[in-house]
Amino acid sequence: MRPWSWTIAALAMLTGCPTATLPDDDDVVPVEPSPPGPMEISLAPAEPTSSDDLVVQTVVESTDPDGDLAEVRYAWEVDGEPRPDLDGQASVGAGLTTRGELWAVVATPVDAGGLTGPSAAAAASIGNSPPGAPIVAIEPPTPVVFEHTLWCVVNTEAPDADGDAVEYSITWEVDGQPYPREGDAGPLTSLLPDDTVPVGDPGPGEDWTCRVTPADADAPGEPGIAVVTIEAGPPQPDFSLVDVNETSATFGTPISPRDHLKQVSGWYFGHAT
Amino acid sequence: MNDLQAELEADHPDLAIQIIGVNEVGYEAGNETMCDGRDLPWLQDVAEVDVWNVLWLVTYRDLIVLDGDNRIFGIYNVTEHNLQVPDEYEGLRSLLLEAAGVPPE
Repeated sequence: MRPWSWTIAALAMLTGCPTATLPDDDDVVPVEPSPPGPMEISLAPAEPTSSDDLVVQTVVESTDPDGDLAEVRYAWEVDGEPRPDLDGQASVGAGLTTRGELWAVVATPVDAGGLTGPSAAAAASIGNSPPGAPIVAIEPPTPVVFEHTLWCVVNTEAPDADGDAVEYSITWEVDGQPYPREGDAGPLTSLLPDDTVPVGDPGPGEDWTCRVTPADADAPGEPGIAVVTIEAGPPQPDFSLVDVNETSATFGTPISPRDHLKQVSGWYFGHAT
Repeated sequence: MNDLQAELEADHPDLAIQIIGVNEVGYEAGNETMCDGRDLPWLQDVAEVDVWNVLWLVTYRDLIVLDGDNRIFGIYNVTEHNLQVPDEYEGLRSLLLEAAGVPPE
């Protein structure tokens, strides 16, 4: 029990008089100890998911008239069922929570004498955790123009704290612009929808970005991103053939691709019909 | 193709972009007709070289654009892209100019 407080009415007499005597009972007024005042709490975050720790936040602190507030006691419930194993904790780890649960906490201020003030309560429902980012890559990592197909692959699946099934959607960009562009043949589907860019669409020196966005049934998650730069291929094999057009300036002479080094040339392969 | 060559020479004479035709082995009989009214170089492939089916492995009516290092910059198939359509003609013209370092308009 908390000790009584005493008001010594005749204290001045004691300190000022060499022949002082103890005060009479009529001179002492007992004071009742006071419990702590009310408090307010909330749970953070306000809309938690199963990836979030639940943390009690004090909105309004309890004050004690006697100045001897000792502690705040916490008691937790999940869907109305007490969780005595968590008593006293001001927070709950994310690993203990599951989507759809209703978590409630009651906070009670207690003073040094064990007197308790009015309790405060807060509650929050655990929402869905969207999937995290998958780890993705573009294969091959050093693609060569007109030689390689680009294939966007998920190397590490997107984690989902709720254990939900995750689906992926894939988008591509070329030098920061959306793909496909006019005239492109892709994207194609190999394993995942739109995961493949056919040979012929990428051009030399272009930066290709694959963005893989995971989603559970309720929400999209953080995308995984991979980037490659398209390398120029080796020089085309050389040859030498005779110009047979009598009206051409080079009629009758052999023509080779090497004759056009350091300049752009266009080689049209048609049939003379 | 002849018109495109003339246009490139008129508009960008400094770039020296050159278009060259290559006829497949077995189609020699049509060369005279093919060249009538055209002054582009027209090469006749031969079995010993066989650019079409061995050396370059081309598709019929491909126009293969080589950069200054003779590496493929682009391939424009004129069956897929009908040059009678202005946008398709412009697409090939842009590809050739882009290979020469002229930014797309």
